[in-house]
Amino acid sequence: MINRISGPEIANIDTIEYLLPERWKLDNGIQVWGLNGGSQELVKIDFIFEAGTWYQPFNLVAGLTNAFMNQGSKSYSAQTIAEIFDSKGAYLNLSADQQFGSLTVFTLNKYLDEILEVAANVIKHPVFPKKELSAQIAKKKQQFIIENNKVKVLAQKTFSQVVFGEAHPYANTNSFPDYDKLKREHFIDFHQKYYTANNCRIIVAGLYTPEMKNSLNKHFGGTDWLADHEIKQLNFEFSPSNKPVHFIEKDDALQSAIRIGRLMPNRNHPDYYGLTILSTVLGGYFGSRLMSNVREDKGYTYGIGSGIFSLKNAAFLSISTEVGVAFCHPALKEIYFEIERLQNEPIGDEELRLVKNYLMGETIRSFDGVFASSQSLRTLIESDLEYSHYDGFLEVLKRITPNDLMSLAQQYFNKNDLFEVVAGKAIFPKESL
Amino acid sequence: MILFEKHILKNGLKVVVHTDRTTPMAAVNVAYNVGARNEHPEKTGFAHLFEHLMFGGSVNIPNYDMPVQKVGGENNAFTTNDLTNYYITLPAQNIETAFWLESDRMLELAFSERSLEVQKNVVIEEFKQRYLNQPYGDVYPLMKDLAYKVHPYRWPTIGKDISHIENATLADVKDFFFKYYAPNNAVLSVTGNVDANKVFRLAEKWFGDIPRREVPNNEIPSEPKQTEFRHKQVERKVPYHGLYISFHMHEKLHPNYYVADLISDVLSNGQSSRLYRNLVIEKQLFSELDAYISGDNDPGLFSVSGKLIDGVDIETAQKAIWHELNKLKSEIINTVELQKVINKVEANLIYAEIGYLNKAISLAAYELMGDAEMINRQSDLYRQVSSSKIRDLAENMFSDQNCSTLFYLKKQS
Repeated sequence: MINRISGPEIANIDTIEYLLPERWKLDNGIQVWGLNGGSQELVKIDFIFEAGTWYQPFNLVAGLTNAFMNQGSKSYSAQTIAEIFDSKGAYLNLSADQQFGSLTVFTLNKYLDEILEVAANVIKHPVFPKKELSAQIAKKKQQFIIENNKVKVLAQKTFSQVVFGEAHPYANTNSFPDYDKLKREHFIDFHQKYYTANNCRIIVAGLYTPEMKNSLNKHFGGTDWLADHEIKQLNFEFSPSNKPVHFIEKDDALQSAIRIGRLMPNRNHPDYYGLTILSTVLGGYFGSRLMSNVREDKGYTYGIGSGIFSLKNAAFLSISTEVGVAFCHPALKEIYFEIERLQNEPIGDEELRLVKNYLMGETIRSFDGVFASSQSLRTLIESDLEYSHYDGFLEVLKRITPNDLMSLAQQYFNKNDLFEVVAGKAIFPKESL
Repeated sequence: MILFEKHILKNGLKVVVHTDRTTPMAAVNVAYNVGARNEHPEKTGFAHLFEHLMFGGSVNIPNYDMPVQKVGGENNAFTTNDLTNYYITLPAQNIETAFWLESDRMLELAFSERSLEVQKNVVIEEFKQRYLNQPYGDVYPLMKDLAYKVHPYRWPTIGKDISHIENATLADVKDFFFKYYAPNNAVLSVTGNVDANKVFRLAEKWFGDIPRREVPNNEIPSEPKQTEFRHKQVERKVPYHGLYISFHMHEKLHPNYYVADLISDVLSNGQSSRLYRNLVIEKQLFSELDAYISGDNDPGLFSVSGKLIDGVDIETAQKAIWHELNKLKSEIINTVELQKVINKVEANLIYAEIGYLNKAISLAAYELMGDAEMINRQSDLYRQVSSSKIRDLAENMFSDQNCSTLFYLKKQS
């Protein structure tokens, strides 16, 4: 008979093998990181620029400059760019966040040179044609309105304003009238300032060959796109709200969205590792305390989670969920109950061992294959860190104790320091009980 | 090409293994041949509610998730119209833990009243989060109800109505389990850094003694041929009009399924596609416009859905879509355009070979349909699509008598 009660023996995993990058420079000095591996003849190339909202002169410019770069370039119309990528089954993904604007090319190896030819034209010489701009802006405007009908979007926006301060570039204060202020010149100007060789870093991942490296240099290694200007370093102070609780009314809501959190030290701070582990205990996995309590025990929500999100100049804690409007107050009560429990009781050994193993598994996943590894490498590059950052995490993961975590909770998880944002329908607490 | 080995246990459980040495991980996936299409019309949403209950503990293991997380694993599940699929990914050294957990819940669930009550609430909140509390959230259920009159695809996986979920009893749950959660009604697929023989040994050890069960051979009523144009109009508190047009199409095992899929790509896969170029950018009638197939095993839907630019008249928008559909009937698509969409599908099939979990899910789904080897025939099936087949199917499919149209209008305030 097999033992179905206690289950098989568990192998403990305590080391991780990273695939380490090779580094080289293009002729014009652009730094390239390469992760060579995989099983298929394909490659993913990230072009990363410091061109996020941090640098934008006003709302929407950073995100839309990035989003509109594929809408036509000096040598190719928007349609031709799309035709070429689609006909090779290749992808050009555009994205911009608070700090960075990036373009990611994904293609079969055999088409790389042709694809890079087009990508280079798009990156160096986008023209932001009037007709495409007007169609795209009309589209974005409508998407904005639709998104802003969702309680989670309303809560998220207010939360970012409250945590960072409304004037800070990490805060999302985009409004509908902002779209009408945009002019073509804003995109041209922003592109010219920030999408330059001096401001570019490249990550190549996949089964690449020396010829492919040459092709990359041919298309991106020239002096033609070196900037003749210095990028001005900008500094912004955080000014979190002085009001701890915020409510955004949406009277037809069936669920209310909750966000709770605050500024936190980021990856560059020694407490970051412990805080990550702590927020995992709280709400970072399916069996976490918040999931077990608010979903699996009470059934107030489909999902609840917490995490520490690290940006270049700060990190923040965010606890987030959507709950039936009648459950909003009881859910808030349980969230604070779980936070206070972290401050008042050491985490049990069994639970901590489970979280450590879970995070070990997550770390293995984040280096599983070239594409996951390139994402983890990108995280390092964007924070100016080395692989020792991940070694440091594994070290802390091994030795951190319940008491260490309790003191971190006491230092960083005080209810008085947390912001609470709710978007949805107001219901008085007594009605909901 | 995805190489795999297959073995069938005495109790009827099919086991499929694919080795991928580029990852340190493994995926253990169990697909049961039961989905929303097997539900009773008065008890809809049950397959999905049941999926939630599968995480409430099994006969020998009170907590399912904890042992998964303890070995560095992750798990989840999903329910479709046709199947219910459960997976665990974990470091390959600890693969046996997954066999222990999955076999115990196939053996017997814990069946608790309390777990049922809580999961009913969770699913009701999921219902709100996905469908009721989102702008345009009820489009999908409205369209299914319009397009199907008989076939169980007429209700969404989450259920037709919240009351069906509220009324579920523990007796229903037990009945459902012993009806469908049988080794002879499931496929176990394992992929990643694993050895096929070891997987077969573990499968025998953990699943071998689960008794075969009587699985009802209930006929799923087929949808009668639609004979008249169907139209529905609703008003909702949304910022812009929405327009949704659906046509009945062929089942997954029919060659025309692939033709329909490529037609949807010609119309809307990527920024070079027809609907995007002509109606979003050139004519600026829509802010979003997509064409896609539902991907069901039984005859599914080919749909076009769009949100209108403010001020555009919905009938103008509807005409513009029909103009594009009619072009596919009257003009033969040129080979360059056809080759473009085939290339894209082929590249995507290569990209899909990277993920070990995706491979496990696909292998199990194809095996449930009859043969895991179908995974390797996809590319050929797309390549066999010709310009004339596209025109013939368009001619056949895009007619008023085969069409359901939903005007989803913004409420004038």
